[in-house]
Amino acid sequence: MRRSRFLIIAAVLKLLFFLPATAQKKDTASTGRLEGAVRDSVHDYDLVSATVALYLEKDSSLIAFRLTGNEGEFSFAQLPVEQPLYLAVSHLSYITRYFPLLISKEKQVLQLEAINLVQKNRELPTIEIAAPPVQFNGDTLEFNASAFKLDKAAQAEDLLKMLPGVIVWNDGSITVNGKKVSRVQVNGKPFFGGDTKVAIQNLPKNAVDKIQVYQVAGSPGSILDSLLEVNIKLRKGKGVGYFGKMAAGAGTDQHYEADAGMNFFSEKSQLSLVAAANDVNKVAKDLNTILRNTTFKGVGTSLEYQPELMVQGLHSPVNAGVSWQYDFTPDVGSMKINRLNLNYFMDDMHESVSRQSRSEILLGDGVGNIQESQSAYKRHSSDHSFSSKYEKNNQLSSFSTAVSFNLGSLHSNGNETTRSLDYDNLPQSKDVLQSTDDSRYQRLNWTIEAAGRKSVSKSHLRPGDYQVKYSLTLSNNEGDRARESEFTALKDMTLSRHFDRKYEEKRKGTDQLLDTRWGNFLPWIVGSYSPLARFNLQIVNVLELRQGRDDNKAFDRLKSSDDYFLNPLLTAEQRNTVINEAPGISISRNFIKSLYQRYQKNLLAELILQYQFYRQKNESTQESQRYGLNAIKFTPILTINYLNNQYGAFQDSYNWTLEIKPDYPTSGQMAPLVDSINQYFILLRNKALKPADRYELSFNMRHNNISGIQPFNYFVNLNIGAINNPITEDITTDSLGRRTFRYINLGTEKHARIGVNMNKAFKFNSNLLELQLNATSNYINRPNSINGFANATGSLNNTIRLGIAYSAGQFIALNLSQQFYSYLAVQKNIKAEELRSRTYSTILSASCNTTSRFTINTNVSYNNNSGYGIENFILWNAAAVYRLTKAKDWEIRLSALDLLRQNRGVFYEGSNNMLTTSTVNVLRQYFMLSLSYYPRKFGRKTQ
Amino acid sequence: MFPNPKTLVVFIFTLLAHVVVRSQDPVEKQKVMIDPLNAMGGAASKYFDDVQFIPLQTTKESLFGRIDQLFVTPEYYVILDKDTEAVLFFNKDGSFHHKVNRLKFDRVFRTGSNEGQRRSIISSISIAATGDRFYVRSVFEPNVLYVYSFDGERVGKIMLPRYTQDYFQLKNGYFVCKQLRPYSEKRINEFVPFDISIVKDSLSAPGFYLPVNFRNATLLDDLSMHMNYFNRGPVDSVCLYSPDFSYTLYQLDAGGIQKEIEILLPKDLSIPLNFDTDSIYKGKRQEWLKGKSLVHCIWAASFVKNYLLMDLRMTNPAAVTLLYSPQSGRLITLDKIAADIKTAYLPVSTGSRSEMLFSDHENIYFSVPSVAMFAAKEAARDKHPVYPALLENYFNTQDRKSNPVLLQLRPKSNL
Repeated sequence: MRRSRFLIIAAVLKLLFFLPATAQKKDTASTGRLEGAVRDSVHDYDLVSATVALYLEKDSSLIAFRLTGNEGEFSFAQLPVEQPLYLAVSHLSYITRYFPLLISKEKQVLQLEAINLVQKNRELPTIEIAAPPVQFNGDTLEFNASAFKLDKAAQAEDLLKMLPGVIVWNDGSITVNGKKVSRVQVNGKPFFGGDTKVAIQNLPKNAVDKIQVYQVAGSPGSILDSLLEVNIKLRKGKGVGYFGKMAAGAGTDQHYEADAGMNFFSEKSQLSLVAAANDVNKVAKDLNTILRNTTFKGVGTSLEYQPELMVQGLHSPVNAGVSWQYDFTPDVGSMKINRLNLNYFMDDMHESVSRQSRSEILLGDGVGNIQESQSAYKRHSSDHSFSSKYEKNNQLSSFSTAVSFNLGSLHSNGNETTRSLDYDNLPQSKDVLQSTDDSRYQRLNWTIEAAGRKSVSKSHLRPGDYQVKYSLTLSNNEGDRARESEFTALKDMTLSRHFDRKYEEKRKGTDQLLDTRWGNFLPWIVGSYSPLARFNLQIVNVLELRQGRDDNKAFDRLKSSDDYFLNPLLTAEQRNTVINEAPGISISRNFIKSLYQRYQKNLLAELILQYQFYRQKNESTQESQRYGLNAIKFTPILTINYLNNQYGAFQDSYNWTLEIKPDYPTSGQMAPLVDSINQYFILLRNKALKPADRYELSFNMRHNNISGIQPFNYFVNLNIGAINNPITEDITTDSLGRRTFRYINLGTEKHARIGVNMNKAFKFNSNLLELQLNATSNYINRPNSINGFANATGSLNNTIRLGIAYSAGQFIALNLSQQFYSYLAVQKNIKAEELRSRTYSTILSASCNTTSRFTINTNVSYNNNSGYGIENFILWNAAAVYRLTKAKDWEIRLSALDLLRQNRGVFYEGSNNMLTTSTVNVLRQYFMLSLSYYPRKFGRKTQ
Repeated sequence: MFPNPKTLVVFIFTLLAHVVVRSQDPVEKQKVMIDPLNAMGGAASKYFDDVQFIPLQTTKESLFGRIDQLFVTPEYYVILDKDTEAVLFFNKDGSFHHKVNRLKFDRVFRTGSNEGQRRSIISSISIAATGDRFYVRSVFEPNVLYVYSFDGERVGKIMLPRYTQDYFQLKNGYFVCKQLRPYSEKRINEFVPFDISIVKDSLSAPGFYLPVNFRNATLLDDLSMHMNYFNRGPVDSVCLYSPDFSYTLYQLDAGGIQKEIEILLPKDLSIPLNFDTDSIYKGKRQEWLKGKSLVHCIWAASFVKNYLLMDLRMTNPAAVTLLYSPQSGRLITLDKIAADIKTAYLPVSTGSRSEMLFSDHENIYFSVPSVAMFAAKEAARDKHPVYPALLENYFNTQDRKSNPVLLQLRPKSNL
């Protein structure tokens, strides 16, 4: 069965080579045609899947290649005329033959006599002068890197892009004949975190021996029958080496950036060291982000880890990290792993954000409130993250354990002035707030996972399959806050308030989670041959234990005094304990319907019947914070996965999940310490809060067309749900614009979300055209209470992006996209106007390699935003990059950001009866000159 | 003190078998030297008198998955499809006749797989020597043959020796049986120390042949899966037995081993001598074979006309189907036959063609999936082939999801 399925895949793969020639270099007069057939005349048969490759004689560059068809036939079109060529014909078991050729202007179709190959002497090893571009080796399609002549600085990605049927998409994913490559390995192992980009954009083509494309079996729990993998096999001796990037740049307005990443690898070990610092909003959330964006290939039109001109505020991060992977078993297969990972990442960030915002708050027909605020904050955060993971897998069992330790600190200070106006723009109140925060945290997490299943021969014995996952998280947070607030009630000065308050807050937490599955019990209970044994019965149990201890102190200072005194109402020691025990049973059944060589349909259904026994207890030195909450909830989950694999046509997968789960209120929602320092946000207690019942139905569908070489795939996901008695807000706004919040259970919330992602690619010769559509739409009808009136806010949020990308070989890449964002909120019960906001953006980005050394990148976006006093603007960035030295390992880059000096930060935030439009300080025009060096060595000896 | 009854039974079997073996006449031996990688190919018209593509009618009733077994009787093509658990009968023009899919076993068997893949209850079928019935074996009772008439009525039951793995019924009604190798050394006392037994019926005592020492020989966990040990011999009263890890074919009749045909292969393609029985390979045979491109067994062997037809299994390529003419010494590879006008430019060797399914005195049968037939038709469009009416109709009315097409090849005489 597997073999036959492969035959069809192989047949489809082979079909590619009968289509128009994959020319790498074409003369302007490329009108020649060549036809022929390859035979073994000694044994009188046509040679199927022999490799026929055409080269230019002058520099031996590959022009095109084919695998021969069922009758040994081949043909090439669009060949250069009047240029000496040679043809290489090879086959695994045969001696390679070479033929000089010239296609004349007069006779542009050259029909060759049958080409006869002679078998190799099987007893004697044969040394091949040149490897053929492509060949089948058993079940693996192999592309030989040495057959493709590329620029000396070419990377594995350049090689992949040349292979017929292979598409490296704009987002970095790879498909082969429409089927997505599940992972790219190097010498059979994940390469520096497993990110495809790190492998294909750093490995020089000259270090690559072969690109291997093959199928592997899906994971045991997956209904997907097989996965497509690509392995980059390095040339002998090239499995050891290092590569990286060191870059530094200086710009106008004293802007700077520097990043460095060094990666060392051997057969068993991989070590990465990264460091980065800048003041141009290049924010890396982890080590892999820096690795992905310090590749030799460069960033092209990618917008990740770029100077973020659209992000709120100015950021100056300093990052450093180290990652080490060690394989105890160097010959790693997908089912056999013995691997240790150690990682450290440091993120030190200075931020400066100044914001002007205007919030529209609806209270009824013609009644409302406007809040205008100006704020400026400076933050300095420092985070350190250590993590380690050990995993050991074989065919029947897997084990992994991971420890991570995070610690960090945050210091921030700032001020905010808020004015509250009525609908006639008459001021009601004003608040001036000064704030300072100092906090520290430590968090230790340990997880251990083990799973095992019995071999098929023992499946009738006692239930032995198991999955166990345990995690322990210990956390410690300490913080000191200071707030000084001057609230002025303009209509009634007696309501004005002054606060000068300091907070000392400590929180310790211990969270534990034990998730277990055990079974299958049915063969044991009813016998292996009972009809019931077709089902899978497992016992499942999730035990969650969370303990938190808060020690909060607040001190106030009166205007008339220099001393702070303890505020007893805001001082409390609180202990919160949550125990959530959820035992249940899982019943599942896998149906497979297949018709040999036509289709395979799998349906996997699982029903988990589970009860949650929930208990929350809050103890506090403050009477008002003491409460207990007990609940028993039925939380069933039904999941259905369906796969329809029509051989040679398409592959569809559908997933449905239906679940009922409760939303439990937190102590912060039920019993906060009521603090009125921010008169525009006073959170009140409600110890009567009850758990809400959430009903969710989600569906997603994925389609992959595998019938042709022009891939088409789409992904649709849909989620609809309802929450009975949701935990929502009761908001009261008074005539001064002061607002109090209280969480309450009210009515029924309904929500729906749909997302569509569609990709279509056209690959012709070395040109690639991609069409992409991404669209999401969110609808939520959420009950709330506005000034004592039961209301509901219906909001609709749409984001649509339509993109078209075109690349012509390594010469040019264009990316044009149109983005549309809109927000609409309608109040259902209080009579009020609609709240609306929207943004249109048209973005064009282009990358052009005018020579193999010189590249120009540019991107222009036109932004049209709605809102009070918001102007349209154009953001235009450009960069010129030049690669120096023969190895192209030095790079000079001149970047010009925000050339028109129009950049603005406009952001929208809507919830309930409020819509906030903010303009935030953003990075503005600057120019930067940077120099990069790419140290690299593949193999023990320098090339 | 009485000996263990199992040991006693084995001892008696051994004694009887020695008597049987001793009483045999000297066995005729023949050596055939072939090099599979130097077998000849050529155009179809060079080797075949007749090439027929027989589309098997596709209706809601006759739709089936794969041809797990094919038998050709004077009236029907009889097909076992394990996907749909059915025995299908097609007329000789490919039209659907009927199917039998409600088979009655003495016990109600269930397949207990919770992996979702429906395990077939039927392990194999065969046509009875009388030609008007068929035998069905289930995976649960490998030594029981349920006898069915062609119209699906159960008419009897035959007990074969315990642990029968494969069997063949000779024209005279005798059953030649291959015993399963033990799962492990702990259980060898349950098995008779012979690979082959020949028995007239359930009541008769069997004759035992080809002794085996389980202490050194390959046990079940070290064998490659092999499901086609027996095929028709040069005449209907003889069958050909092709063992595991051996290149010797045994011609067996009711009286035992009639002839041994030793296939000599080039050294670079051969497994070591006595690979099956040498203790140094004990428990390591599969490991030893890994990464080596060797012929590890003759999967099937039979006689067509006066040619020896063999299906060899190796690592790369996975299978080689050969036709050997003892008269001329010519070796033809059926995997390298080119399509030509005789095949209407439809493939007879490539395009996902099946393994060899059946052979009789005249013809060799394969099948081609419809998805490959339509792809081949498209590929040969430029050659403007003329299809027989049956095929023309097939191409006009069917699609890639239709039932596979039978391919019948009749080799020329005097190859």
